[in-house]
Amino acid sequence: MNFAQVLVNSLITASELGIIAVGLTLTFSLLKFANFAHVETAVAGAYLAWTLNVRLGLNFAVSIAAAVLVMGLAGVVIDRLVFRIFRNADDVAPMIASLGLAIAIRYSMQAIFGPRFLRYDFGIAPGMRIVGAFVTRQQVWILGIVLLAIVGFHILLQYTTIGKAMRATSTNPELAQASGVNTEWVIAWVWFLGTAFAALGGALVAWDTQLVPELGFNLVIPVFCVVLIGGVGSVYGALLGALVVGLAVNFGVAVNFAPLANLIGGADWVSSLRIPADYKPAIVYLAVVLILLLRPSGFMRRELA
Amino acid sequence: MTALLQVRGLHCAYGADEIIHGVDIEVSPGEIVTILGPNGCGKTTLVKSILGFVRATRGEIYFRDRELRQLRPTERAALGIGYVPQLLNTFKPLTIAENLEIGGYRLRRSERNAAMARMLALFPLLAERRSQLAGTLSGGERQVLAMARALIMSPCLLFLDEPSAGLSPLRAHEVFQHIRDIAATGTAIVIVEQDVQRALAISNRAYVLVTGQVVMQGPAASIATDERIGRAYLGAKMRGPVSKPPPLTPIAPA
Amino acid sequence: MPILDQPPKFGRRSLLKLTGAACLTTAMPLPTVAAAQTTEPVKIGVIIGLTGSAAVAGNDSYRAMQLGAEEVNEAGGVLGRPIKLIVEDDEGRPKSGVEAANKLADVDKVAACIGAYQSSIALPVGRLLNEKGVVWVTDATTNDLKTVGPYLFNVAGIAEQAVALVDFVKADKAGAKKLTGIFQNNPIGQDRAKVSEKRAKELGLEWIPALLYQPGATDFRTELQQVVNAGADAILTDIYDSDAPIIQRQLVELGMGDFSNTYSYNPGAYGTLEPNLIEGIKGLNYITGGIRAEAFNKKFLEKFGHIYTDAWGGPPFYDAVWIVATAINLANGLDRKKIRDAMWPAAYHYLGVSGNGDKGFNKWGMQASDQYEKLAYKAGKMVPLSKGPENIVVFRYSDDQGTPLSHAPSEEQNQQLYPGYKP
Ligand SMILES: Nc1ncnc2c1ncn2[C@@H]1O[C@H](COP(=O)(O)OP(=O)(O)OP(=O)(O)O)[C@@H](O)[C@H]1O
Ligand SMILES: [Mg+2]
Repeated sequence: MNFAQVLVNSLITASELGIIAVGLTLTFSLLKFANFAHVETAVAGAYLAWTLNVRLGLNFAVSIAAAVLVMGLAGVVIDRLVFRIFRNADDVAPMIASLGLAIAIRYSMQAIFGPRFLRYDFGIAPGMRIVGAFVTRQQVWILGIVLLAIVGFHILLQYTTIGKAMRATSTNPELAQASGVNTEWVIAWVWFLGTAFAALGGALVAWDTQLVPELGFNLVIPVFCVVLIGGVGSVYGALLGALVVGLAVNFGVAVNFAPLANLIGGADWVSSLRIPADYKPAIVYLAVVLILLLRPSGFMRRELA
Repeated sequence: MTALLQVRGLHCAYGADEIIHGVDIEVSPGEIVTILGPNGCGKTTLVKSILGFVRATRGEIYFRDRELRQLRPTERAALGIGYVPQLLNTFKPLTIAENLEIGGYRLRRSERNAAMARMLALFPLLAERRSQLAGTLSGGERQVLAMARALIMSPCLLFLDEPSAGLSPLRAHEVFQHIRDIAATGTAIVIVEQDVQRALAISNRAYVLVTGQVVMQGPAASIATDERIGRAYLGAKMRGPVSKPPPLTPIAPA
Repeated sequence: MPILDQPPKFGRRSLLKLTGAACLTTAMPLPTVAAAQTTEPVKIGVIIGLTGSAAVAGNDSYRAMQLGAEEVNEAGGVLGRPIKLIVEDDEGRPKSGVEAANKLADVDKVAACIGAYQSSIALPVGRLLNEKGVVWVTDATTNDLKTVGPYLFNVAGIAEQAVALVDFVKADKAGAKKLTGIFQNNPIGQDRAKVSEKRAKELGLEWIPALLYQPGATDFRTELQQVVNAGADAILTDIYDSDAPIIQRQLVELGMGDFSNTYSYNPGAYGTLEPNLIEGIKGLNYITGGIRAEAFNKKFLEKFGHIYTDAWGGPPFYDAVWIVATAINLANGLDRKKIRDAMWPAAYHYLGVSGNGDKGFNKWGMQASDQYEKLAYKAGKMVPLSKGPENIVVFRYSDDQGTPLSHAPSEEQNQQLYPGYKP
């Protein structure tokens, strides 16, 4: 096993999942329902960035920034048009609405952009060698951008008035209103940030891999697992969850379990015993089950803190 | 003296269950009003509907001659109505300072800082622990924080839903002392309380609510001595050993 | 139109030439049997993906069938009646395929069914039509097709491309000792892995467990890294078109710059990628060869304005229409069992456009031979590895699997071949 390489791969997986999961858990923390359309807005953001970059020929960074902003605003609009109706309903109605929305977005993307894979405008080259691991330029960028986004978000959440209002509204919406906090404005911010993070994550995943309409399908389970592991509604938990999932899936398939098996004995001596790569989704589930067994509500408390 | 708050013929319901059946209440500037009644009679519901959290199905709510029913809770709060809920009265994962900041959310930064400084001076307990999380405070400390949070906007009307619930007699005494101090600054206060004698002792007037209707109202002193109340409506709460209220100074006229 | 009053008794070669010529010129009538009292068309069911995951190949396949049906009708049809294709879209989904098969068999009462480009559809439809006793002709090529029953026929080959590819690697890469693979994690990919491993070991090569990747996923870096590090001399691949871009990209990013050790079962999957992602990849592709192929290609192009994109998705289905039509004539009626038994002689004597033209069925109803062309990517283009006849690989087992039958197996034989089968 090339330890450095697997670690790099884990960090990339974690940062891509993490940034999307933070957006998901953010909307959950305020609105208390699972937004299944979240990952599809990530895909929509990636397609929007592609349109700006490849179709309209804009600079790549500008395209991503614009897509992130536009999708953030789209999140606010979606809330006004769809989810606001369910503000005082239980959590099943908005969840089902989000499922419908997810399907609508996915098939719209397929109808508009076709089933074929798309790629942003850049060449593919071998990665640089850093302590034995191949790391591509875009991966370095992705790690940097995600780190920046997370630090920025942390500062916003902890030190700005709107951030504090978000945390307050998430823990006690009634008291926030009684304190004069305009919770609808706070919710609008949460949709903006949540959807913008989704779009950013989607664009980064697409940059790092490729853009296909089923991207959301591949992301939805890992992202929800990340959120579950971290503690639903907890932003910092989601980051931890992403790290757990990233490490688990990559080391899970990379580790040679033969020495362990030989130690336990029983079967014949083996030189190579690995978890097949197609068990990756199963590894994610296993991580979720193990962690929820140890900590039934995930790593962190379910509030924006 | 024109009424600060005027509630007329108020009905409210959770879905199809009507809880409040036509209630009239008035609060004048600077006065302390107590709402009494057995558990589950609708005291909290009444307060929440005045604040906008429970929908009023019929009736009128006037605050400073302004009809409130079309306003959202945030807008009602902005008019100068403070509220300390019965449960969940602080933002637990936020620090004391942050709780106060949220209380002053609508103020400009400089005003907010000034108001916070005022509160911290008023409640030295909070000043010492400004970066402690509210969730780690004791019940009494939390009640103080909740009042400070509500007061930071200098509301002209403050609702306190069972401020002494779960507190030791000493702590409860302190809280009532604070309430009197607040009233002394001219803020009208509506208290919902189980500790009837203590609440009545600092109140000007009182309403007795039973199954969503006002069955008695009048000056606090006369209600406090009315035997029928204890027997008929307040049950064990009145009969149990009530800790003797400490001597109070007279209420300053508003 | 001259009508023969006896079933034809031609020798194999002569009939191959005859039908071949007939189809080329479309002037000669088919041997047709008398007593055509009605001119109502004979219905032949078509189950193919006109939409869905294999829609491009599916549409070309249907076009090829239309071409075949048109020729059959120009040549006099069957039993003195024209044939008519009733097409149902399987949408690339097994469930739709099975629903279509039910409808075609029970409502339209078709004489036979043709179709299914994908094994996932060919298998369940085959099982259903075997229960119903309706001939089912497909060009899917999984080994499992052999187990379905006597009503199933395959006009593409016996799915031993895996064996042929390992042989190709051994011949092409002198000194190769260790082999491994990258295959889709589905029944076809698992079958590829199994057969490749078996063949490699038969040839005395070492086999490193293959990577079975999750189709549609987008991050394969860690598992690909292991393939790269495993130290194999050659990597066999069967990768879907939609997965090839990301897998090649990640291989390049992981430092793999030379793909001359990559041998593909599906080299066409790499067709749209940048040259630096695919340079040197070799592979075996199903071919449209034989003496009739060129004429067929010309006709297809003239009629539809383009050439089919996949040798698998078109020509074999054209052949299927001709074989079914011939079988109906040989059966001298629409008795489904007689049509079934006539499929063997019909295919045995018929000269096709797909493969190298030899469409004879073995006793399982599978085409007895496989034909492939060696291909390689040079400067981003897929080209034949060489020009001469050595570039064509015809694979045929020396046992029963490779023996075409001129007559149907007996019912006793069928019962031995298919444990659950009742005549
Ligand atoms: N959200 C709700 N949905 C439905 N019914 C409710 C709801 N909240 C309270 N109720 C019901 O309304 C009635 C009045 O409740 P409320 O909390 O106003 O009583 P209370 O007088 O404040 O009681 P306590 O002295 O125990 O605080 C009770 O019967 C209660 O069960
Ligand atoms: Mg109450």
